[in-house]
Amino acid sequence: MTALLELADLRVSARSGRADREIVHGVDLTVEAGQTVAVVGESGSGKSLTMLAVMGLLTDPLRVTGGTVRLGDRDLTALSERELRTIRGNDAAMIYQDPMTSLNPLMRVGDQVVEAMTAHGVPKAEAGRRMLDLLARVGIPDPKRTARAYPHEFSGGMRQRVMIACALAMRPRLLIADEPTTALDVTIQQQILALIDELRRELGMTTIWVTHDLGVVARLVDRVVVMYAGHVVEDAPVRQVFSAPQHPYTKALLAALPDPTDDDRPPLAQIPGRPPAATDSVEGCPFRPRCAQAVDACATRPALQPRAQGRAACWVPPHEWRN
Amino acid sequence: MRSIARHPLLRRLVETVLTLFGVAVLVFTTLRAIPGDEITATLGTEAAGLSAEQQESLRAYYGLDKPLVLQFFSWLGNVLTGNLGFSRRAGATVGEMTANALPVTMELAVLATIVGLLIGVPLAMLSASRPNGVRDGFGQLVGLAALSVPNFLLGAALLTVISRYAHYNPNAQGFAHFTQDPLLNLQQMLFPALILGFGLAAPIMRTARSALLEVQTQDFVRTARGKGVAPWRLRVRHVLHNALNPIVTMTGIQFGYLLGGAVVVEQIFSVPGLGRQVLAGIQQKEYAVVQSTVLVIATTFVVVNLLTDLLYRVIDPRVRAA
Ligand SMILES: Nc1ncnc2c1ncn2[C@@H]1O[C@H](COP(=O)(O)OP(=O)(O)OP(=O)(O)O)[C@@H](O)[C@H]1O
Ligand code: SF4
Ligand SMILES: [Mg+2]
Repeated sequence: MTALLELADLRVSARSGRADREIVHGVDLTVEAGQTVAVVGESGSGKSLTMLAVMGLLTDPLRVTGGTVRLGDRDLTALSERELRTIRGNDAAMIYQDPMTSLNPLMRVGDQVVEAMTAHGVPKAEAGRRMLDLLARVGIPDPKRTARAYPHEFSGGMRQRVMIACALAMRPRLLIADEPTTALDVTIQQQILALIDELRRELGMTTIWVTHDLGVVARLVDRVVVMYAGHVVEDAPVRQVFSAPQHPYTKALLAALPDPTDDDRPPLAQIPGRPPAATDSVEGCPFRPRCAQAVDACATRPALQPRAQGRAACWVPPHEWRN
Repeated sequence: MRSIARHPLLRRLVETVLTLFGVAVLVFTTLRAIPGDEITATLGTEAAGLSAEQQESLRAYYGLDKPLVLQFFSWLGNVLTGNLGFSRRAGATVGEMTANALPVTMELAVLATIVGLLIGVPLAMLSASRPNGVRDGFGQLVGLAALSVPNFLLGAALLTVISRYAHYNPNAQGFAHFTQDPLLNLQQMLFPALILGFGLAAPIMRTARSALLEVQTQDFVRTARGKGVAPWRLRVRHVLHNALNPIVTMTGIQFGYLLGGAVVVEQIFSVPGLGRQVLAGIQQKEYAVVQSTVLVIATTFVVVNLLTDLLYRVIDPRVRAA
């Protein structure tokens, strides 16, 4: 297999005054063509910023301050805005977290899908035809009529379907779905997840699911990448992540998953302590303040090392963990 | 069923009538607070030499002997029946004078607004494309300059320079209405429109700049960039379009202000608009002229406001739905 996407030591910082505050601290991540990967981590761990950096969509004060993003055989960080534009929406597309704010309120939804194609040179008439097919494909009833509606006439789920149609219009090789269901009703969530997964198979897209809830995407992915405070701390096949997590944080995440037999247990609430603000520069291992396994060695930051069938950034292997 | 009294259109109408009535009362009382009346304005210091009887008969002639409340309502009654009053100075009815002056004022206001938008909006877009950058600094500087130079100064300077060095002063000849001589009319309107428009550009540019900056940070702009939309389309179709409402509001306010507030520029360039009509009325203490003209201006202002509201509906489907 060949790597479609390869992040090497990717760093994202926010400019504040003269100084740069680093938020994403050197992410290494390779996604093979056709693979489906979940990027998991608590809120604020830098998942969205990493993905926006891949798309070249960071805006002031945020910017890439180091590393490379290779898509196919091109380094995106070396491209001009003009060259990037030919890739966005065409080779790589993204579905965003909040469908309520992600569509232009003054533009008919059909036009917003058409635009995703005309931006890449598809003639208007053809784009119009394909738009109707796309709307039908993502499950929007009566596309001819609904294409003329405005976003405010749509529910959250319908808007997210429109967003999906926009993202898939050019049949991108890479699809990034950044928590596409967190803003939706629980019943709608499953439908949207299923729809994206179905279209992913159909188009053979390499897909990255971003989520803070591992349980949601566990069935959909081949691999899981765990982020903590702007670092990748574990990266392993999905089975291994669930059966034998190699990082104490991953284990804590799993323990915090909602138990189907116990509705009262809120997700993630059981990890003691709070994640550091991604900008805090913690000495040593970033998870140390909350880690039950911490030893003296943890005062030095562990690198991402091969561990079982994946990689983990921890000094203490699982067989040495207390309980 | 919803009570008809609560219908927004009806409420709007009542508000409008009350506003106009307030304007009428205000202009009526303010005028009378200024010392002098039409007698002293016509006769000057000679008015002091008149005998008591002469004064009485003149006051009766000008209708100044009646109680103020009666004067007010007889004027208002006349206005409502379409009689705006008569100007002895001009030898014409206020209705006739307004029919001449209103189109001139409207034309000037429209041209000035176009100039203001053509300068203000592109400057704002330039500024907002690189906030705090060199372009932004340049845009803000022009805006500040437009705001700080009084338009009478600019007008006088422009007129002097152009007429002296370019020997071009279309405003020296008698004023030509657009219907009489469109070409000359447009030349005569050019400088006043440029000067008023330049003054207008500043508030429009400030409003537009802050609106654009706000819209730029919104999620749907990122979505559009994520689709690979070209920069110019992004700026016009997505950002500017969503920033239009505050720009329309500010433009409407400024337009309304131009209706009566262009006095100085009208005076410098001899443009016979409503501003000059009011000014002449005040100098001559022709109460009916001032009162009726101000009421016409206020009514036009109200109509402009209504049109602005209609424009919101055209721009934003969410307003249409509400
Ligand atoms: N414009 C910005 N300026 C400064 N800091 C920012 C900015 N945007 C995000 N951050 C910081 O970057 C950190 C990471 O943000 P990011 O959106 O990538 O988190 P996330 O992992 O996607 O979380 P969530 O699950 O809530 O979406 C956050 O802690 C946030 O405070
Ligand atoms: S390196 Fe130490 S502190 Fe960090 S996760 Fe491993 S055991 Fe915990
Ligand atoms: Mg996020």
